[in-house]
Amino acid sequence: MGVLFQLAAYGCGLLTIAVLVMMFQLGRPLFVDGQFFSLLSQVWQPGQQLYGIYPMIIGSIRISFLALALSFPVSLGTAFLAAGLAPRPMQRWVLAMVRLMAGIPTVVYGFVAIFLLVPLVREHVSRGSGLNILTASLVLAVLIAPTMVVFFVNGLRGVDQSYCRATDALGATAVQRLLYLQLPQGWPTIVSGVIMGLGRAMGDTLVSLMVAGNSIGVPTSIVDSARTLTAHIALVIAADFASMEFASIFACGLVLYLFTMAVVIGLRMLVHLRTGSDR
Amino acid sequence: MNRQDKIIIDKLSFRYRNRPILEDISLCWREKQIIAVTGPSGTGKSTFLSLFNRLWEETGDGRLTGSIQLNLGGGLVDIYQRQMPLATLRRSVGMVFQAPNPLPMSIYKNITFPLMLAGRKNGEEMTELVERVLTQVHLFAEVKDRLKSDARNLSGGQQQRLCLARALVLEPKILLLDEPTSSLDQEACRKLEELIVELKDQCTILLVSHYQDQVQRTADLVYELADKRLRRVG
Repeated sequence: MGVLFQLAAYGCGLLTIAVLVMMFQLGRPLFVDGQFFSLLSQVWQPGQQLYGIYPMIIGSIRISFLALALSFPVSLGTAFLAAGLAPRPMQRWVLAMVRLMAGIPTVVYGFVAIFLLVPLVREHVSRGSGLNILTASLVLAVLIAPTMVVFFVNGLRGVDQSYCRATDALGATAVQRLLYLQLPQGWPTIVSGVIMGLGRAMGDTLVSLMVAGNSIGVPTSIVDSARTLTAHIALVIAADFASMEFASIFACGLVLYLFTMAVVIGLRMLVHLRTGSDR
Repeated sequence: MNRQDKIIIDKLSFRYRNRPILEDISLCWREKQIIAVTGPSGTGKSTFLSLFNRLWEETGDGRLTGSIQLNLGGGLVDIYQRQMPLATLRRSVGMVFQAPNPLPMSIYKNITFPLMLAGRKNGEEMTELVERVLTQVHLFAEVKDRLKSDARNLSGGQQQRLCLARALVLEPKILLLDEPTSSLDQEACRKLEELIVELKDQCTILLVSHYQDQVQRTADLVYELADKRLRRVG
């Protein structure tokens, strides 16, 4: 049985590498004459033979990080409730609601946002269409919250029970136990939750497609419309497989892949440093 | 009721998940005694101990009737009355568990952790207290050069003495010891027994133990918990 699990783990790893190799292979025309790097700094104007993805990179970063910034404190607070602060029946209720939220299809969030959130943003925040970075981030914040809450709760509850009993016996309040024991001990799992949340926010296509506005300009504020890398991949229709337009889609994929990898490695290093200095 | 009464148990009954554990126990214990509770496994000795710092409430599913009054310095108080803050109670009623459970931090931080929880932050005072309690449990000489190292790297006996020091740093009025020597070797066990006897002058000790010879050596009063009742046997 152990061998089977090991094979499954190696298989997953190989599959991840295979995806990267495939993207490099299909995007090979981009690496001739350093075109890949020029795409990263150019704008998207197919009429002028410019297939740059710079605005999409900025759009993706702004939308996903704003969504994470909005979602993280709420998710952590919810996890605190569900992992110790709330009475037991309420903990169960909160977790049940969070799991229900995680099961709702993305398109439903997008659909609800178009009819409820977009008019509110249009009315109170921006005068444009209401389809912008802020709207997309708000919806994505709601979308990624359940994933993060589940990870956070697992991290906080996963602390060795003997530590919790010792801390309780020393007179720690529930808040003190959370802050001084469960949070530092559950930190690696909490970071995993952040990675998953950010990954989901960066990787989500439908919400961005529906409510971010899909503008190909470089967004300069959170009330500007923007197009994300994933939405761009979905929107580009290129019939000629040898064209730069088609190859640029793989540039988007590569950027997403490498960026996510950099974030994961960076956060893992942070966990490692923190764990090492926690003595 | 006497001025020296430290613990008064009145008509105490306890059910855990609808299973009766204790029934109609009434007792009165004086201060600065070692009171040992023995009995077969599974009779609820550890649960009985957890009633004195209300630690059982963390797992829920229990139901207690009757009362426990403790003298925590300002006269007898019913620890199950609504106004009794849990943190205050647990800082006055220290506990050492069956298996050593040092927290995942340095030896020094293990001792200062309860002080920090209680809102004491004076660094110099803390260092003095750490040295004092570690000396009291005869551990300081063994760890003085590695106070910043992970407490989990200590031997089992050292870890248990550290846990005892951690409980003592708050100067508890009552100390609950839940089979504190059961996971220790003979030498570590002997050291801890000597310590328990030394501590009698400082606080009232409730000791749960499997070992008859141990309770005979250390305890002033010995009770057996069987058939949901406490019966004095020594």
